[in-house]
Amino acid sequence: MSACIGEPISWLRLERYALGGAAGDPDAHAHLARCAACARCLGEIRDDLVALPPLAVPAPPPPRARWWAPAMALTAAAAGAILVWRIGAPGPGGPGSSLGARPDEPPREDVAQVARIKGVGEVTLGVVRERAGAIRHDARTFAPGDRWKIAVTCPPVAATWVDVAVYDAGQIHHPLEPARISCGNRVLLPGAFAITGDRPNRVCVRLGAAAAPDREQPPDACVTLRPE
Amino acid sequence: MEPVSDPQGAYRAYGPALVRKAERILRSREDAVDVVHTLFVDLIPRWSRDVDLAYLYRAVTNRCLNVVRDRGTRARLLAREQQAAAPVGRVLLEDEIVGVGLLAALAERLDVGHLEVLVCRFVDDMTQEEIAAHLSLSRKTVGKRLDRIRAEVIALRGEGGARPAREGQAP
Repeated sequence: MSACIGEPISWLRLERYALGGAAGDPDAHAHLARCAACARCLGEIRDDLVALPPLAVPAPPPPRARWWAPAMALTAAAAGAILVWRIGAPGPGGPGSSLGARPDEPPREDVAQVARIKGVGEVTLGVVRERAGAIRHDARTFAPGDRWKIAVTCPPVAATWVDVAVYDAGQIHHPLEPARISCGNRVLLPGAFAITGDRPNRVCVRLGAAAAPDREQPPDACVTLRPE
Repeated sequence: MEPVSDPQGAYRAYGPALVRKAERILRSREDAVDVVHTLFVDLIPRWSRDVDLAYLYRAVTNRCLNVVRDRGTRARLLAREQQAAAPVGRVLLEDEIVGVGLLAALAERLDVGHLEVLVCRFVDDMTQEEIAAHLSLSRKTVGKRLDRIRAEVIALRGEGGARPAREGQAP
C-alpha cells in the first residue's frame, strides 16, 4: 500500500465520513481525492460487513393509567380472544399455523431465527460453537468434535421456557432439558451438545412464557447448521 | 451525521464502526464483536443523549485495553494475531505497527492515560489536535505522553527479550 500523502485522515473521521458523506467534511473529501492510502481505508470501511448479534433493550415503563384504560383493556382482550381463536382454527398453513407440522416432522424452512412470544416479546435464537477452544457466535457449520450451546436473546424484563430440538434426517433429538431462563442478551442455556452426520441439521427451540412448552407444538425459531 | 438518541439506533448505526475499531486493537473480529455488544448491554441502563460515536469510540478503547491487559485473554489474542492478516499501517510507532504484542508489553509500563493516547495516535491514526479534543487534554499533554510512549518503546527494544514480536512493517 502506498503511504499517505500527508497527515492521514483518522479512522474516526473516516467512519464519520462514511456515515455522513462528503458534505460534512470537505477537507477529508479533498484529501481522499488525492490520497490512495486513505481512500483505500475508506474503501475498507465501505466494503466491510459486520454481523452484529441482536441487542435486547428493555421496553420503557408503561404510561400511567388513564380514565379510558379499562375500555382499552376490554377491547384488547376481545381482540386477543379473536386472534387466539383464529390461530387455533384449522387453516391453510400460514405462518404460525400448526397444520401439517407433526412433531416428528422437520420444521418448515421458513421458521425464522426470531419469534415473538406472547408474554415474553421478541426472542432470538442463537447458537455458540466451541471448536478446540475457539468460541464462535456466528458459526453455522459443524464438524466432528464441535460442542454447541444455545444462546437466547429476549427482553430483559421477561423470562421464558426454552426446549431445544435438533432435527436430523427425520429424527428428533432433545439434547437439553427444558429450561426456564431470565431474559437478557445472549443468555446461555445450561448444557451443551454435539451434532453429527453429513446432512444439514435444524436446531430449533420451542418457547413458552408460563410453562415448559409442549413438544407436540411446532418449533418457534430455528437455525440450520450444515456439515463442513 | 445525525445524532442517535436510543441504544438500538446507536448500535445499528455505530456498531460496525466500533467493531472495526476494536478489531484493529485486538486483531480478532469475534472478540471485537463481543466487546462492542457487551459495551452496549452495559450502557443500556444508563443511556443518555450524550452518547455519540466519539464517546463510544473512547469506551471501546478502554474495553479493549482491559482485554489486552487480561493475561489469559492476551495469550489467546497473541496466538490468533499470528494468523491474522497484516493490518493497514499509516501511522507507525518507531517504524512498527502497534499490535497486541506491543500493546501488551507497553501496558505493563504505561498507565491508562498514556495507553489511550497511544491507541488514538497509532491505532486510530488521529492527529495530536484530534487526540487533544477527543480526550479533553491539552495539546502539550498529548505531546508529552507521545514522547513517553516512544521512550518506552525504545527502552523495550533495548531490553531485547522483552521486545514484542514485530507485527508489521511500513510499506
